[in-house]
Amino acid sequence: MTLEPLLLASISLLGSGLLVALGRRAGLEHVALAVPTGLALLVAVSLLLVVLPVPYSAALALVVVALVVAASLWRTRAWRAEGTDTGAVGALVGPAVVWASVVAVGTLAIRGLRFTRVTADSYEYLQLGGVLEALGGPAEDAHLMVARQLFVGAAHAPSWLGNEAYLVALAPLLLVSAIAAVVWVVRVARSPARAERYEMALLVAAVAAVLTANRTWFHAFYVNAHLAVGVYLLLIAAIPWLIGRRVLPPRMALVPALGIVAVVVGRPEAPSLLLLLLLPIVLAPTIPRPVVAGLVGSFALSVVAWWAGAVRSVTEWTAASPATIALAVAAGVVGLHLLAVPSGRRRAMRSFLPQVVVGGLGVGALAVPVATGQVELLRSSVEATAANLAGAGLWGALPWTLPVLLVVVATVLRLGDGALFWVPLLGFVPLAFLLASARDGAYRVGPGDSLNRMWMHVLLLAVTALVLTLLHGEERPSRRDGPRSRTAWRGRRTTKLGLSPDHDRYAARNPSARRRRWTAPTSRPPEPT
Amino acid sequence: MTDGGAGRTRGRPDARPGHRRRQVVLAAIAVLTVTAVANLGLFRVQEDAQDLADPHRALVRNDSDRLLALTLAHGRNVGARFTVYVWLGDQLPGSTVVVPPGYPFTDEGLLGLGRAEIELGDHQGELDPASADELLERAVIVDWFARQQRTARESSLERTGVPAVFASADFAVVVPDTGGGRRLLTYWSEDTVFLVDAVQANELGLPGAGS
Repeated sequence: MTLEPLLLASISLLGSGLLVALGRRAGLEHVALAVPTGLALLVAVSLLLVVLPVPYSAALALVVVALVVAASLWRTRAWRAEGTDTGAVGALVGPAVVWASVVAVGTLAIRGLRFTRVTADSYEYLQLGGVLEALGGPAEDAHLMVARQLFVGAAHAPSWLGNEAYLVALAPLLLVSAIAAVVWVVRVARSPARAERYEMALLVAAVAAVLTANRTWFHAFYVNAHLAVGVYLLLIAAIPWLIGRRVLPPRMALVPALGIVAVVVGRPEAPSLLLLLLLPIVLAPTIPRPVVAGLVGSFALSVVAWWAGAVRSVTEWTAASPATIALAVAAGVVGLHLLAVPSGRRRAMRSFLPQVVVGGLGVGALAVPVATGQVELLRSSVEATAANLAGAGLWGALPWTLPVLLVVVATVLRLGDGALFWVPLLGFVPLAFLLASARDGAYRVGPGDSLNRMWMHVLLLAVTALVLTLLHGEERPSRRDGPRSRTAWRGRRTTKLGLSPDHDRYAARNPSARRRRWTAPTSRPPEPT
Repeated sequence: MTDGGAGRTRGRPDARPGHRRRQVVLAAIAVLTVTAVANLGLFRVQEDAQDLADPHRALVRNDSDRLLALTLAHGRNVGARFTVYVWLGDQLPGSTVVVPPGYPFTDEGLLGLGRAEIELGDHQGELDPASADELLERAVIVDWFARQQRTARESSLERTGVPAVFASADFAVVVPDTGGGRRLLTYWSEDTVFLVDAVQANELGLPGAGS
């Protein structure tokens, strides 16, 4: 008898509990967010236990997560919404418990399939969890701590309670969450004032394009962090974007804040990757400053906790480790600095800084190999990546069509605050080649190549950005429209509130959206179930 | 697609509101649909299905993408008792590996273990005779590790500082001869995994030996 259905249902239920504490009750939200949120909370608590002078164990981490969620529910306004406990309890018994039950049954079914793939890399990622459990604290092994990191080991550690090595069904459940998250973001973003005739067709086509790719299913059964990072990057970009559009309350930023912690301890390159996501968030005028502060704070604290708190125990450094830590610290400092920039200057920076950063990464990806004598490495990496995208990487037709679609759509339509999506997407490519130089190892031809697996990090983000731009983007004026039209269009780009015209039209029809401070609607929010 | 406000095209009297956007959206739906269909064609479902029907076909394919076939084959045998033979020339030493339920199998299993513990380099890289001998020694350790997961982890921790989490065996790993090293082929049968020197495999007429 395995404990895994119970464990995964518990993680889902704990995530749902936190969502209920945040006032979220829609069914689709629990499908999309419960498992990623519960998992991120588990990893965040694990990070705390590793850093603090408390013996780490998977059981203790789960207990602390349960206590955190219980305390959140106890304090939430929803708990006392009607003077009784029935509000929150009812919400938990409803979609949360139903979804947790589905998770439990699904886990049994997935275990029966035996599709899960564990490679040598998976072993090494999982191994850190064993080291932490055995030592009760950080390990001294540089390879495990720096290259493999905490996420996979901590996420799968509960499986030991059932005397198993890993959670067989975790990755497949994350794929369900990933697809549900894409659908949820698109549906939540829909303004009630606009009828999106093609929304469903577009969603179905986009999800089908993702689900039919060979590598999507590989990641769905692969014990590693790629799919989880993909889900979290989507949430880190999309939820602040939705908060900026006033369709989600600022307190929902807790979900991407936890996601940031998970990503920081999930990938060695996470600090630089997260900086690409945080930069446009910091510069966006529509996102409330407390939300920005919370996200940057989560980033800085988790970077410091992991790199300065846990990894300090490493006694045998690899060549890349000091550089990684320096980059991590720099990312945290830059993020905090941007937070302090006055709003006027921030608006000016918004017009050039993202382009400068992405362009700088591109120049760096070319200059660093030249400066360090790694030109051959860069050439091999580019050739291998091209071969992988052309077919050897088994991504199917996605590499052929998705980038072209993104470029074409971006030339015709402009999404308000779209920088939250395009900056990480554009910056990811040169960053990946910089990583090849940093690790002194070229990418190789084959589906198991590192970069070929890392495309999963940005796939969900790319697809969601495409769909959102198609549904909510403003038409850019074409040359045929004449100069007057373009001048007028530019004038419409920002409003007196600094919001997109699209938002203003929505706000004109929705009084609650006009308020600067988000308040919960008196009735059930118009969101899909 | 739109109520007309968002996508109004100005400057042309005959321009319909949101016309360009509608065109782009429809084009995107069409392209995404074509992508999905093309993906299905490229998924190689047929090949994977054939591998499932004939595991030995999967064994001899030097193809790293055998996700469905091999994971299914692995899963089917989890909990079974395997005998691992590292067959080098006339030697036929063996060691029984007990694989508890829930333990993972992988097409990189033995080599993954080798890479993790005896540092063979890249899992597609060479396996020289000395390493192969060491792998043989490790096979005994694998057996010992596999008896008690917790005990193994703690014992490994005492000896190496890093606990061994897994014991696993493998199917169908082809180690290419990248120069100087011995090329080994792995064969799987009902309850046995053979790691066979390629020269011997060729003399025995085993499938894949000539590839």
